[in-house]
Amino acid sequence: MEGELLEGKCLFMCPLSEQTRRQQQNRLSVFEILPNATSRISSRLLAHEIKAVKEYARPAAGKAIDLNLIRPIDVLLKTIRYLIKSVANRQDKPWAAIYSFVSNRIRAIKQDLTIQRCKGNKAILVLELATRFYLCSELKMVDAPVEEFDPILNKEQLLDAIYKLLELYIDDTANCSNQAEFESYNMLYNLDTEGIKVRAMLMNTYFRESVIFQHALRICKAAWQKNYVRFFKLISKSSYLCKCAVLRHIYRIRREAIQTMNIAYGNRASRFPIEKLAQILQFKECSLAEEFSSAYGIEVTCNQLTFTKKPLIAFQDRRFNTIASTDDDISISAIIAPG
Amino acid sequence: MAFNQSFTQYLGSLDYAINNKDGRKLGQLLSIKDSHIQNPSLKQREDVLQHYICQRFAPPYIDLIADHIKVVAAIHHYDPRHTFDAQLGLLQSFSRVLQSHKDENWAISTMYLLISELTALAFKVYHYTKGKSTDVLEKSAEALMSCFRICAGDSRSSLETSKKWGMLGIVNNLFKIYFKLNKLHLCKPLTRAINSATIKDEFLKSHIVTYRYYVGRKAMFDSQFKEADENLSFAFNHCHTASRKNKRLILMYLLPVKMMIGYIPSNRLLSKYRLTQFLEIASAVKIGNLLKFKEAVEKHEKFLIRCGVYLMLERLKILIYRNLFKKVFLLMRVHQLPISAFVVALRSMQEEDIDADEVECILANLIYTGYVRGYISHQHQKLVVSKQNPFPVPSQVSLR
Repeated sequence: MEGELLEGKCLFMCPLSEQTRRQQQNRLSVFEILPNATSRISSRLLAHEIKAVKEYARPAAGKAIDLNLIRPIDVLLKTIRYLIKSVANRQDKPWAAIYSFVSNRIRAIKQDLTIQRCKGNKAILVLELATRFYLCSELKMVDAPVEEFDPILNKEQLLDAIYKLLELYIDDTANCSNQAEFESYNMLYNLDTEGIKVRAMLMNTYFRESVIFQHALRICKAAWQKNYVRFFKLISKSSYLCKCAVLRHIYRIRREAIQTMNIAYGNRASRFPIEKLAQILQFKECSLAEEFSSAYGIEVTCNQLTFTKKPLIAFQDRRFNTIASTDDDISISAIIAPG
Repeated sequence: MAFNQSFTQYLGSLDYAINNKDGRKLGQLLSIKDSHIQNPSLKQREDVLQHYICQRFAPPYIDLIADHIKVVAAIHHYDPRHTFDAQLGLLQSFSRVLQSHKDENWAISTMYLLISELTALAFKVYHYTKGKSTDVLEKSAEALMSCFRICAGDSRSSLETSKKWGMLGIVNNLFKIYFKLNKLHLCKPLTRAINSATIKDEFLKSHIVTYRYYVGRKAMFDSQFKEADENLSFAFNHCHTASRKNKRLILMYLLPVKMMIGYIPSNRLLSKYRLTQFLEIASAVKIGNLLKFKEAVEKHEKFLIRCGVYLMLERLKILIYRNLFKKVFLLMRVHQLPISAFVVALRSMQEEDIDADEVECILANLIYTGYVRGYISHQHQKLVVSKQNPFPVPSQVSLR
């Protein structure tokens, strides 16, 4: 019933035929060329094996699989480690460019992984690194325009990686030392989906002693109970990656909070200090909190908000997805591939 | 069929049942729980038995009986997975039999038995593999859906002979599977189909009770508490008094829903149905004791998670806050209550790390949802409650 397990034969990060082809078509990425190369021709020769990475291409329907173009699991692991340690960490290029390159190459890695139906601990490692990368990207690219960062595509890739990973953990021989961590990300990311609560309760029985899981669960419970104060308080004490995982819910929870406050504090004489709002909802700056409130039609005078119970206007702005307590100057590769 | 009858005699009984259009009898003869399973004459070689079957029956009954023999063989190999696969094959052959019946519906009683046994086998395999083989559940659902389509599509026959009567029995089994798979969104098209059926109130009472039970549970999941109350209450009230086990099951879900609306169950009711685990929970909710509530929930955590109400109980917290804060109001007898009083109240429940900001947040939610009528003044750190009915009765509050 099982298809025969295929094993790729390409031992380079990028199949040689593809290197030649893209070289000729002038389609090498800036990350695949050696610096200070005066002549493109001579530098290309050196780009072999060291920097060229197989790019993602849509699978052509009906085409037979050429094992010479598929990389076996050891090479995939080596490739993704290279991408994280040597590309994602670069300070000399904008993150948008790095993201564009690395996410594409990781997609190709996942493709090879799927074709070979890889299982086992190496596959787990690959998917763990991939998931962490996608999570970091959510935060780093939160303000980026759609041409540079497609949030829907990132979400799709992230969910694909994480679901495959969670399946691999089920195997009895799998190394599950990080499972609690990734179940936490899954729970936080999918906070508002149907069925996540049931899964959370199930996982809770396995990960009672896990600090990271219990913390993530507390965050989720705070969200489910609409306790925005506790929600943001807990987030400020979370790891970088947990913040990344929960990021996409920030806007909605802030909006719900302000809707609630608009009714609960709604009184002509009532004044609410903007600093307090900024603190409670973890805005990076008071000015952002002010902008946020004004955009909803709430009057702000002398740093005080006046809630009037008037219905609020609705809109979505990605600037309001940032959280106060995130450090921008952290080493990405240390986050993604610790140790 | 007796234990010592010959295979020919077994076939004779089948023939008789089919000719007399006796769905129940046919079901019994194809059931894995019937004594005929142990009859040694069924353990003969398959091709030998096939020969006898072909001599006596015409398609599509040949496949039906042959597939049942396969099930029997799998049972004797003690292989749950193979038994399931064989039963699946049997149901598929049965679908062809059902489809061949024009203007007659006597086979739907057979169908109920076959699908119930298929579901039971699927669950057995699923538990045996500790939840890994979801494919048995999915395959069962597919097979059930094709039976459903045959029944639902039977629009030409008269009401008496229509197969539409079989719809609800199938739907209930599908609900069971979808709940197990945690894919509740798949229930929606089925409820739509049933609700638009003209015969929806005329199905078998037992089917309707089961149906309303699942619809109520789904509503509970979707936080539609009024709808959950209506359906679960109907199921509870119309469930046969003799089915103690089923009544208890319905009550397990009805209780949290009722509590959510503001009704506290009586001790008598809880004792009658052996659901005293809810006693402490109910009393904690009533007096607004958050600490007791948390202790009670933790104590019975395994039980509550197993029956799937654990999550529902988290929703009761807001009622506890409401009851606790109302006490504070009654004690202080003023309409401008200091936030600090609520902080003290919660700290006394061992919520040590709670601060004024969080208390304001809880109060804000109570006001927003309508449990408290008033407003918060942040600068004066006070909750100002309305002079008229500041704490409306929970059952009157329309839940968002």
